[in-house]
Amino acid sequence: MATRRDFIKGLGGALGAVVLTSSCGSGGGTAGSPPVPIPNGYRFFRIISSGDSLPGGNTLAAIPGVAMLNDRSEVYFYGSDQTEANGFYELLMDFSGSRPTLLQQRRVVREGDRLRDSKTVSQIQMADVNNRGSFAAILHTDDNLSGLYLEREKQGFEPIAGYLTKLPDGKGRFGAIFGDVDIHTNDDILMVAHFAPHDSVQGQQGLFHLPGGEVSQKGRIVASTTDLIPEAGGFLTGMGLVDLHDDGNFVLQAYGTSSENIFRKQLEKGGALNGRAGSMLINGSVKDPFSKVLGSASSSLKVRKTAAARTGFSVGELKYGPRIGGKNNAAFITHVNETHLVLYYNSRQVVSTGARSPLGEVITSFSAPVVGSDGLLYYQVVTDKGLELIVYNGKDSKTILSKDDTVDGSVLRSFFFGLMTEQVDSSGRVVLTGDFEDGRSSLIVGIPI
Amino acid sequence: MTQISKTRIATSDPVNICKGLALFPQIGTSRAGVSVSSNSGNLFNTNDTLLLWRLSANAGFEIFMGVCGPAYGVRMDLEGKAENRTIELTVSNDELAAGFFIGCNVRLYFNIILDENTPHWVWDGWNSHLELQWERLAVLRPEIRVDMIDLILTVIRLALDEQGSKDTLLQKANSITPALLGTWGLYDDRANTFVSNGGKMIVKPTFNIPIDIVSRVPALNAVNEALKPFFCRFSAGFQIGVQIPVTVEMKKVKLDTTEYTGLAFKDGKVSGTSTGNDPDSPREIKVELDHTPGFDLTLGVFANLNLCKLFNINASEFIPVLSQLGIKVKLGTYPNELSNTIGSTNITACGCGQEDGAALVDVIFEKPEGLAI
Repeated sequence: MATRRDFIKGLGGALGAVVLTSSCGSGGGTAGSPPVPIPNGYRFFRIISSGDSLPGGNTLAAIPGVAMLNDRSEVYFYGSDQTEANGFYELLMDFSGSRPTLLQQRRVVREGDRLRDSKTVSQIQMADVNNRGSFAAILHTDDNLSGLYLEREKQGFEPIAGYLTKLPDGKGRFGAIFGDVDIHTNDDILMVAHFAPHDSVQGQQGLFHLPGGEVSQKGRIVASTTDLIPEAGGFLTGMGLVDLHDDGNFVLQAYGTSSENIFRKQLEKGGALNGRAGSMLINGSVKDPFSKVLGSASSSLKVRKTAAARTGFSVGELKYGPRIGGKNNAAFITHVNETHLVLYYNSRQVVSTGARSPLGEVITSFSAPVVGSDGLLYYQVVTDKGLELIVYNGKDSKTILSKDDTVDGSVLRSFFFGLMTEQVDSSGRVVLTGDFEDGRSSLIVGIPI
Repeated sequence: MTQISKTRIATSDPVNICKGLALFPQIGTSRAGVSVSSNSGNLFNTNDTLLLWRLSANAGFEIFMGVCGPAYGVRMDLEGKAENRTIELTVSNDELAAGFFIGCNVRLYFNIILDENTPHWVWDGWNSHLELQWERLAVLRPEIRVDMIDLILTVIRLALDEQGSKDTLLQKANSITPALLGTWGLYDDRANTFVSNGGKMIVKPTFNIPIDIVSRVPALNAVNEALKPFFCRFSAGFQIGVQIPVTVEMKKVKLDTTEYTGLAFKDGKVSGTSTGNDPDSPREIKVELDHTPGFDLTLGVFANLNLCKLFNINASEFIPVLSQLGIKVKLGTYPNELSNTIGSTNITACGCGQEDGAALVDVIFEKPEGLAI
């Protein structure tokens, strides 16, 4: 028997696709203020697809899954063209009409581009955008070195930090390896990079806060390897992905080794140096160096009882990038083992593998989440039957898009969401990429109704 | 008055660190020596399902290295006179070089397998349907063996030039053992500083740099080329840190058996006094040099794999190079004597009591508990 949902799906070709959200029971609920209501439905649109023209005359060949958007209606995506060169492109959209309209598009940065410092881009390693339209990127260049570059107000990329750039405090220099970068309000940047302090012969990895997107005395090292692990015995040995939000709050994926493992290795002579560090989530503020706390930790780390007893603390590996939203609410996924994942948000468990999705399917995997500015949490699940994009408000979970939905007249076969931190704007619009029955890959925008 | 013709005092001429005096000798030994060591380890091993991708990745390394030194070589010409139990010498043509030579071969191996879950139509009559099935996207198994120092030479030299330390030299030398592809020396060499420094010679060869080697090795760069379309990046490399501050000070001068102490340095000359009589026709001049060394050597290996802002795995290992090479550091001041026939500027032997084999010196590691909160 045809349902209302099937009828709406059939009209999808004319309207974009209006997907009624499918609700699921409680995901936990939060005490205090009532949960933000989840929109009743979303309209999804394909705004650019493989085979379309790119700025500069090339043709878009593939979109692997990376997409971002900001509150200026600027949508960004990473794609390769027919020459197999990869790059980031920006689409300025008008969302005011019955369907999104492309106002302007430009190439942000592409392999082969010549930069202001006369270097040529050989690979875009990492990128992030903010609501000013600034674009921060870690670029690998033709001199086999990497560096942090920042484009302010579409004026081209300026080099901010590179190999041998002096540290903000002047007591050392950046090395040749740069990791993750995140940019927030006022172009404040949080970046992971290797550095060589003057007073030590051991290079380190550090988390750098660069206010205003520049290396100056206002910047500082927020955390570094050889720091003690907060609330645990041992030392940090590495840093991974990072997310920065309002008031300087951040979450960091880090790695560390317990004191016992360090001492044991020092006593050994010869033989293999095996010893895998455990991963952890560190939550803190760039304004207060003593604010760092653990949100999760590997079972190989000895965590203080006060931290382990904290609501929402989880034991397991942190392999996915953590996210942070307003009110310092962290969202992250813990790998209890290789197949058992648990998603946490605001100190509560949201869902785990093996549970049922809002459409009633068994969840086998999920993506890193994205936190909306209103506190809604967005994440993608893989089930034994397909894919679902879910919104969670602390109490309810609703599927807003699933495999086999129709978007702009074509059936969606697969999609990717959660590969970046900026995929939901303050109006609740969502950006993702998908593969369709017509054989094309597309950038998809979902608009709540 | 006793005339002292120009006499050369040196460990070797020209100055050669490998023929010099060990910075960290035990009592009775002073030769620089050659040490070799090998080591291996795993960096990471992971199997993860990331949405529609499945990633299997492991990485490991083997390191073989050899070291000559750490040691210092010194040379100086002495000329002057001894009169009324006072010796006065002019020091010229002095040179001090300190550091060590190292060869380091590294074998890195990686296995990266990427699968994607893609929809396939399954024909089953009335039950025909779309099903997600795993398809192999990439299998990457690069393995490389490199002369590590050679690989990063350009980057290190760039670092040294940028830091303005033209005195800190890094050069390729003849290999110190056949098993090494190459040998590189890090050392600091200062000339004509003895008198201006008040009778001290100070060198401080230092560098500390983390280096990403992936783009510099074709086999590894091919891995990144394959991962680029997925906005995925693989980094691997080394962190090398070396510092060898050395201060060498002249403490005594002997003409045959007459010892002159309380050395003072002024106006380009060194003078001292003796409690015994000045020898009439001394045959030998002997100089006691005290050196105060420091030495720190770290070698770190790291690898990082990230897929967008979705997934990251990071691993690093620091290798206790000193203990692996049998070099132990005991801080302190060590005396050595160099001598020559008065009037000779020919250096044929170190004259520093050489013995076979590298010397081991005790080291103390701090227990981590001492460093914890």
